[in-house]
Amino acid sequence: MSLAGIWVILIPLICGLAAFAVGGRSARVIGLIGAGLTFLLSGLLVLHVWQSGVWIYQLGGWDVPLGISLRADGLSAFLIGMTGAVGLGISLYAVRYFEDEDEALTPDPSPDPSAPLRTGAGRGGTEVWLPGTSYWPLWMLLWASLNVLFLSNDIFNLYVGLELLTLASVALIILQREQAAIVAGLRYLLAAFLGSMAYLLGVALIYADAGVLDLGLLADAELTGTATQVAGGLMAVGLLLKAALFPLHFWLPAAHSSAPAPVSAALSALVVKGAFYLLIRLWFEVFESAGTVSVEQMIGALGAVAIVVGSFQAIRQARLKLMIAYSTVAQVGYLFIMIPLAGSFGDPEASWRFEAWTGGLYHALSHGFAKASMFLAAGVLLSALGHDRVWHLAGSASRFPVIYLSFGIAGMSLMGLPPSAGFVGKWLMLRSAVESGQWWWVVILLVGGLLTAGYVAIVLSQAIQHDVEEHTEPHPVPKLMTVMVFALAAMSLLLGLRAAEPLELLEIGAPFQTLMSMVED
Amino acid sequence: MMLYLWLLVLATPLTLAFMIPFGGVVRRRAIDLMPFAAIPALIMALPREQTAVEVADWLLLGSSFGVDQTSQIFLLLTATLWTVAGFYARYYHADDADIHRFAFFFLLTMTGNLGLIVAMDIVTFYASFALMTFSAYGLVVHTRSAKALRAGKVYIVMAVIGEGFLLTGMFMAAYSAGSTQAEFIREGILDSQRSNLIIGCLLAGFGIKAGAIPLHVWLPLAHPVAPTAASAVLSGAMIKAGLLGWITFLPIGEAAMPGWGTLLVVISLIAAFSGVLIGLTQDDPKTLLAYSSISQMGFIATVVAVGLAEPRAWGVAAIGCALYALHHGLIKGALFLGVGVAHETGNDRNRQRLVLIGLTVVAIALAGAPLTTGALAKSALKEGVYIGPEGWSVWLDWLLPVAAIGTTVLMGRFIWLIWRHELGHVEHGQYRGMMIPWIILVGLAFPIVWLAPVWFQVDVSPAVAFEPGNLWTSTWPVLIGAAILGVIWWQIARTPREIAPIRIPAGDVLIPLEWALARIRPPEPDEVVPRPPDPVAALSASWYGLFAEAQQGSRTSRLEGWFLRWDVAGLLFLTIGMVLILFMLWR
Amino acid sequence: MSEFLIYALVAAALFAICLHGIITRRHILRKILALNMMGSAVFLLLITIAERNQVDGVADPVPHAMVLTGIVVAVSATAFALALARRYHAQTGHTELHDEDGST
Repeated sequence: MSLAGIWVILIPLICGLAAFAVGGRSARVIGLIGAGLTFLLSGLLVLHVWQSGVWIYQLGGWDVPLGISLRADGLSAFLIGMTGAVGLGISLYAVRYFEDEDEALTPDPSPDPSAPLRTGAGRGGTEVWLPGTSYWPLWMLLWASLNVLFLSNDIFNLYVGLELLTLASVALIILQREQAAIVAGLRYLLAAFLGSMAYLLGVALIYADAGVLDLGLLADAELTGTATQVAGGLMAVGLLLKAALFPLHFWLPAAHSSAPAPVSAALSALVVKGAFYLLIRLWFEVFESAGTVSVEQMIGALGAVAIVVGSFQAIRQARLKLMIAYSTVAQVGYLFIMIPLAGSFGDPEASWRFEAWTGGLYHALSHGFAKASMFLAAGVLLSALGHDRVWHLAGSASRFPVIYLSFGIAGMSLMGLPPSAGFVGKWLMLRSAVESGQWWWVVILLVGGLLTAGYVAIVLSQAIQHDVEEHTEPHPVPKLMTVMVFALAAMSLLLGLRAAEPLELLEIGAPFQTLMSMVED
Repeated sequence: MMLYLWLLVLATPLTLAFMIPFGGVVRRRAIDLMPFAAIPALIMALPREQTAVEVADWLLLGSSFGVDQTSQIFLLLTATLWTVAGFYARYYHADDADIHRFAFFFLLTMTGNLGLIVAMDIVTFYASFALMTFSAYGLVVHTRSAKALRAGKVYIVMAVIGEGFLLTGMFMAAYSAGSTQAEFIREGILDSQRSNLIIGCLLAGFGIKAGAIPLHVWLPLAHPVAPTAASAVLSGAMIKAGLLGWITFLPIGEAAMPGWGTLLVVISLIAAFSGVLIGLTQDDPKTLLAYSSISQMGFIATVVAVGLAEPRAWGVAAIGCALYALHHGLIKGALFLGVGVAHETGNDRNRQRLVLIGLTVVAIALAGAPLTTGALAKSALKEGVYIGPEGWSVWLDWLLPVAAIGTTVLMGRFIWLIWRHELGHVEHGQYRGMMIPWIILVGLAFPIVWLAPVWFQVDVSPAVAFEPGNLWTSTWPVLIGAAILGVIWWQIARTPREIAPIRIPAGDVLIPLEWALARIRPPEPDEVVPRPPDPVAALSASWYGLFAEAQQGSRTSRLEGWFLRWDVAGLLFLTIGMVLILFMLWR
Repeated sequence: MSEFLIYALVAAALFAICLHGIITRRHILRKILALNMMGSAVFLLLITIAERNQVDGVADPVPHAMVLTGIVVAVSATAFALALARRYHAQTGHTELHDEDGST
């Protein structure tokens, strides 16, 4: 069990490679086995951290600072657990999703007029390109690199994880080889590399200052040198670009909305969290001494603008997937409001810092489940109706009641209504904002909820309208896909109903150790 | 153990609701079981002794459940009404192809309504309140008629505003109290530096639900357009959620707040009178009943105001409020359901007679004639008024009976409308299925209201209704009202004419507001946006444009398009990076 | 001016030039090249740090290891970007990255 942390990286990697080597239809089987095993191992790792505290593993038995270590504290376990659960849901959904896609592409090479939004590039060419077979190796690679990111305890290793994540994500976006996806993928790739380079320069500068790469040692060193300060700025901007914080979100809407549904879900729910995770990991451990209030307030301000602009753009979108993508832009804003709240504003020993930190992460968790559910729901509607135009969804609620129910539940979580998980995160952040006297964040947190209600309501109210148009019989939707959409939405609700354990998990090995006893009272 | 019973109260309707989207047999079973969904709540409302508050640490941020004497009376009312309405709806919607949709929202709304009563902490309360509010939208727009959609729009706008007030108020209250448990909230509000802001937020937030003027505008639109069973619970049970919110969370009885008390008493008296007056001009009996609800809630709110102004009065006044709520909920529910039954009678004279007699009995009860539930409720309400602030009781002693005259006349007009226009209006052949739950409710309303104070051993005994003074004040307004009705009747019999020459459209003050808003509203999806030359219209057109563009398929605004450009984004990246580094260096 | 500072400044200048290239050059190949060179700038800095951190005349091995790994990552990333650029060219006929709204 104590080796679950190793296997949670190796298993998806091995299964990904195997799926790539085998190819064809068996790739799916291997991919599914990989997803199941990784999920189980993620669960074991969470259990292990829960029972025996922080887990540290020295790769090859070499001790730091010479060797490289893997480390799982409560935060890592929390995100690995989320990735495991969301990943399993996405995998099961993808089985049927790509089965459908591949079947539509395989038998008949002649153009199919009924699927205008899915014109595969391979159709006109000589080879038949089946996205399904390439999906599994790449998805496994993506999963493995996420776990690498969450477990690495070494800032350079984290860079490698970040690059792997980018490569896997871009490859997945262009899976269907549509022109829009290729353009979006290329833009994403270039933007993400730019972010990585800024990060890498930061790594070099920190090494110049400290001479070590291990996160634990860096945290103990309490760096305040000029090189570290510059590194802080560089790494922050690089990671903000990768996390698509406004106004560096330019690559996100196109990339997330033009990918196939299971990929969109993974990108919005998980990949964005990778960069976010890295930033807070660095900010509250490595840059704890070097960070300044002004930087934190600025990041928070960008987050606030992201909430308003992102939500407003989401309201304006005519296509459902773009709406959900812009909603991610807005929700990412919420995540970054945690930085000024948990940052060095006011009393550094105050308990509100830990509250905000927990609240932000809980928001990340709730967004993970809710957004995955939303993108998968949009995928169902897109493949069943042949379009995802928001203003033409009228009447579809009666045909896809579970899909819209799930969409509503997920929307509730994004709005932060109780009893959803989003509420718990928002509540903690609100409390922290009031306690620390940073009331300006209270306003934006509350306004953001109302704006979110705006676009969720547009979709739901359209869906329950009377059917005015003549609709063709919708393409049947496999039950498993519907069940997964619902399961992920239900998780975002259940995690709100039962928040005690996940919150306790976050305490294990968290920064602000001195503050936690005060929260307990 | 008790905890799980409380959870069962909520889990029953919630589970049934979640069964519905899955279709097939599961859906049919859920619809069949819909009337029984509130039975666990009904059982939990019966014990004489209230048990201690049960806390579920693992749920939300520590949910707690339980009832006190006041809220148990609300639970009794709510569970009874939802059960009766459930049976009624089962038949009312027997031929409705969309019955599953109705049942889904009905059950969710029920869960929320029951949840807010048994919740003993503000998070659970707020969650339930929000669930009830937003699910009820589905009930309001159920018929999808243009009228229903308009009512739905007004409803949801007001609801969102209300939620905003509530969230702000409750959040600040919980923060000040340092706890989410209801018992600490009142002190927390008083301790807070911003206690007036919190009280204002809570008064307004709950006031929207309780139909307090001028936040009532949604009510006369939404209550009547909903299917009849839903109207009954909206006007009977859900309107009381706002009242319960006031009673539970406002620090009434803890400290004297004469300012807020005076404000509320003025608003409530305006509501009590204007509800009657505007109600009289209505042609639709359901709209008339909705206005009557506004007026009746005004009666109750005056007593809440007394409690706000004079803490000593609150102990008795709270019981009075609860009993009045119980009376009004059951009677108003019976009146609404009766409208539906009247439609179903067809040309059968016996059926028509039965419906008219039943409706007349409950209408007289609402007017508060002696021996009826209304007489008891009004007497109980007055007990609180007597202890009220200096000078108030003199005025209230006068004004409330005068308003009761109005109620009597209003009920006369209601019976008239039913008799003349509504009997056998639309027939679905479901008379029996709808009549039986209705007649049971009519029959039960009297014993429930009379026995409740005895059974729950509250401080107010039913005997107050027979004290000579109270007997007299419950008699004379009804007599005067009856006399006015008699005069009108005589007039009409002599020369047939329009009785109420003025018509105030439902929604009253909303109408001018809507007219003003219509100038800046976003257009319907297919509307072409006009670009008129004058500046005001051009401004409103550009406001339109914000929404219109999206509907016509354009994806992003010009500004957003600019952000999406690679060179702009690169420059922003550079700028933000530089600023961050500078901020890092500049300590 | 110490030797270390000269190298570090050259690395910084290279990084800045590449940043300029990425933002202003439209041709995809130039953007990819700029990114690649950006990596080289960081590698130069790392090697300089290795030189500075030397103990008993032996350079610090950790930055060397980082550079080696970094090169591997850069190679694969560049290869992937080039392949993607080729496909982009094949499908759109463009060699420049056009923006969402159709403007360049």
